[in-house]
Amino acid sequence: MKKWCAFLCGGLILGLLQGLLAPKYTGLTQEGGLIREYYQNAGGNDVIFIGDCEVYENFSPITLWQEYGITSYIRGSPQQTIWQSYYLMEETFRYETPKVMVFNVLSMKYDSPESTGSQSRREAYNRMTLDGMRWSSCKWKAVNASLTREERRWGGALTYLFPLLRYHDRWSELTAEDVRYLFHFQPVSHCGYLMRTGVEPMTEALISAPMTDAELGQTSWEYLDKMVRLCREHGTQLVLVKSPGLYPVWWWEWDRQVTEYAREQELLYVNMLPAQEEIGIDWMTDTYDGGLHLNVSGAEKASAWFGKILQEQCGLPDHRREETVSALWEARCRAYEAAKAEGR
Amino acid sequence: MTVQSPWFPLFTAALLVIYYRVPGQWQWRVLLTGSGCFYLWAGKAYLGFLLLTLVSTYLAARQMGDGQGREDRKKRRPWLILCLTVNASALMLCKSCLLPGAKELLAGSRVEFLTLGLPLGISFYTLQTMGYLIDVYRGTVEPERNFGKFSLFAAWFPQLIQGPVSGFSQLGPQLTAAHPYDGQRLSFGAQRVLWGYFKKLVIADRLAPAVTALRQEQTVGGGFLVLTILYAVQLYGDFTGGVDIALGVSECFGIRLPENFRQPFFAKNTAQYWRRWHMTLGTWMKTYVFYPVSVSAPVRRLSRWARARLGGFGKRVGVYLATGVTWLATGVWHGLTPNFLVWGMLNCLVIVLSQELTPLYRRFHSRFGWKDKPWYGVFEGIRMFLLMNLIRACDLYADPREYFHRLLSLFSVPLWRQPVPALGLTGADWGILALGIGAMLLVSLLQQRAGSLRQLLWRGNPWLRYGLTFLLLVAVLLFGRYGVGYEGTNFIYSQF
Amino acid sequence: MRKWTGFLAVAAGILCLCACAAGSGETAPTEGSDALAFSYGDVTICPGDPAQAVLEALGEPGSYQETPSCAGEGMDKTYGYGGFYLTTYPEGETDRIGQIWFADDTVSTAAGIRIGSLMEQVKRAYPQGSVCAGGEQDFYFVSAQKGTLSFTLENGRVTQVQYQGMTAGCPAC
Repeated sequence: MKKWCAFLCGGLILGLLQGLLAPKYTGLTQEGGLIREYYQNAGGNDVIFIGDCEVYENFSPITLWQEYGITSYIRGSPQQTIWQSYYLMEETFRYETPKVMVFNVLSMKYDSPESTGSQSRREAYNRMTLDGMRWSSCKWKAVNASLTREERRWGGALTYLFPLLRYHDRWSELTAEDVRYLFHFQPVSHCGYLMRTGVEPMTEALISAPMTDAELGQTSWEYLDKMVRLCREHGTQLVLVKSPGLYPVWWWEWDRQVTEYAREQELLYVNMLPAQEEIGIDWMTDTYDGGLHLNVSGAEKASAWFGKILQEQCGLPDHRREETVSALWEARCRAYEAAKAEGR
Repeated sequence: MTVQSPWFPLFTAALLVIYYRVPGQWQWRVLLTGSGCFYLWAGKAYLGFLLLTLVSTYLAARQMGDGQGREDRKKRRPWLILCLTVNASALMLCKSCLLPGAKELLAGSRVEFLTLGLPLGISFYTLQTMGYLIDVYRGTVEPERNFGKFSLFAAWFPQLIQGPVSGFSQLGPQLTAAHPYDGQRLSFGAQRVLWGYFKKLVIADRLAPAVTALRQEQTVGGGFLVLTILYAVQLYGDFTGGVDIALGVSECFGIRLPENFRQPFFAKNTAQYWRRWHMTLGTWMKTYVFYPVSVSAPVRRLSRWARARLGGFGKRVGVYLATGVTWLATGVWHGLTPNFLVWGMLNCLVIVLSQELTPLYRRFHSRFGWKDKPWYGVFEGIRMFLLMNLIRACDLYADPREYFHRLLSLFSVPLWRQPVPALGLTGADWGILALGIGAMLLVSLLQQRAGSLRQLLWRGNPWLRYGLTFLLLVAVLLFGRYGVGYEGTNFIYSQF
Repeated sequence: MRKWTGFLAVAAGILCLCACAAGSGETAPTEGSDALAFSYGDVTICPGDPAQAVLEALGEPGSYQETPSCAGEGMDKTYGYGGFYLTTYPEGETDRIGQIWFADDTVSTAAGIRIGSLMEQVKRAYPQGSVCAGGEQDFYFVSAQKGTLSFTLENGRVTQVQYQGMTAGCPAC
């Protein structure tokens, strides 16, 4: 009995330590907290956006609601890869069956964790996407698909099961925030949209290395195939989108291949890059980081334009006359407007 | 999977669950399967080497122990020589690939991969199987007729990385015997494993960047002295930590491996030090190199000749020659670079000199009477620690000239004039190291005075035992230097 | 004697097995590994190498741009020099060379290929490479141990030359 008590106490203390040492993503890197916020908002969404920063920075579900009465949520995270997007999609279907699943195709440029560039950064992004997921077979599969070589060498998936093994050395960086958010977290998004109100105009064209491989990788196509099958199984329409981000470059060769694929699979593919003028994006006022991502004004313009397509081509209903739904969304709108006014 | 990987404790725990669930006669098969899995997981590229050792030794031992060889020692000899040659060649081939320039020599050939380092634990299992083979040749052990049981003895996974080196008569029967569950033994084993991880991950690996920094710089004088001390602590933590893990894991399965260390830094002379540091290697060398050389016909002839002509010293020539050969073999076993030969010879020189100067010491002590004073014991300990550190530092430089240059710098310039370069450790690192090394020292002192600490704790309040074990676990988890973002270090002795 | 022969045969067999087991762990042949080194004056630039020493040796760049990655995970930097660009990406504490690409025909690869060279010249200079046709453009890849040297060709002439490491140093998100 004594022994079991000791084991229980030990387990509890280790659990507490793990909670304390895990990063809280409340400061500058709020992106790491986006994925975990979904579970409190799951259910009742007609549209789920899945993808990288080009979804959580460039689309605003609140605008979709305000303009078209579309209920939506964004499951985005930094440099989210297509294999992560797929497993997030699979997981989403465990919580709800949206009418439309929107996937941003930019991440198809990456074909393996190694091809995404800096591996230490890749590991940090893996954490930001995967640590926030609740434990399920989807998370296990997502973790195993995502591990970098360095992560595999050091315990791999086990360090996701016990994040203490990863964050054990954060004891020297602990702040009051770590204690404050030990048992709960501070939501940072508006239905998955991370609001940026600042303006930093794009004063010069961003230099980009030329395209070296015209073909999108095999792994990307395999996961896209899986997405198509998964959405069909659930009777959900899969919409492919390329949000209006200029950098990293989305090459026309890649665009041609996705267009061809969408035609074959009878999917809707919307490349927003050629429609920038129609959308009304002004890179002097609609970006907060010199042209890499849109700020709130840009995201609202992009959402208003894309919402119209969703409404017209996907036949999404307008929920604004439904009282309960409306009450929930109006509350969200108020929080959104307040944040916008505060410049957060 | 490495021992430092979090999968290792999990793997061991899973194996333990199966081990204590199957009937006694099946337990050794579980251990064999586990060892196989570990090897496949840890270094399957080198499986060929393991198989070479296993199959050749097994066949040679059978040939020697059965049939005609059983009666006639002469008929056994070719098998012994052939098998020893095959295994020693494989070992030497691997080691020679670590020589500078060997990489270029082998570039483009099929064995280029060897430059990556030694196959997992080859030095240790080769030594162990060679010992077994010689025992069979001498007729002191019966050859194992079951290939599975023999393989388990040669490749028992906890000792695969860096020993300890066990004898067949001691380890073989234990591995194949039935071991019913014993909570106390399991608890002792787990505590020892934790202590091993503490020494490896918290102390040795935290010190590693400082040792690397000092090695890379042209460190001389005071900096070199600091390096020898830090390297001593690092190597102690690393090697004894790794062996504690091996012994602890084995203990969990009910298997007692031979002890490899007994507070070596408390030794007061070289002979004592070598009876306390890497004891199983010392025993192996004594049994299979020193004794056979001592009693060999040429050495006996030389001894007779020397005794007749050189008087008192002549009596000891044979022993010194055997000592020299033993240290040469020990040096070569550590590595084929010249520094290891120098290292072996330096050790031999110190031992021979201490032996020769014994009458002088005796006269000195009878005159001053300091021998029994407590402070003199401390002085002897510190003297030995510093001396062994200076000799050990030879490991660090493949070219002995570099080593001697640094060694001489200790005497050519005042130590305080030589700046110690930046060690790359933070204040927190030093704090952890101070506490960790303090704990290590305290435990060694208590062990020296009171014997097994685990026994003491077992007899005391269980909550104290739980608390201390848990504290150790937390210290390893929090202060260990492991995981993504850290340049992990392999066990130092796994490369020898 | 027969026993001896048998034993030796077993030993030889196992040694072969060693070689096979060892061979399976080998990486790709080193052919073309030098192809990934770009020389500019006295400076040799290799994708994946730490950037600091290279940047110091190259001196003041003609143009410089930095792009922050998502979630504050470091800066990608692009440096423009006479005739070529290079990018760096952060790997832990160190910036490493990501890609190098030619901006004009004033620079050439070690084998003398520059913008404007013909496909035949490229093939002759890098016989180990492979062609990949892609619509209006053709690509010629030379794989090396640590990355790829790639040429983009239009109408049989080189229009782009790019060195890229294994971990490509792609811009984040």
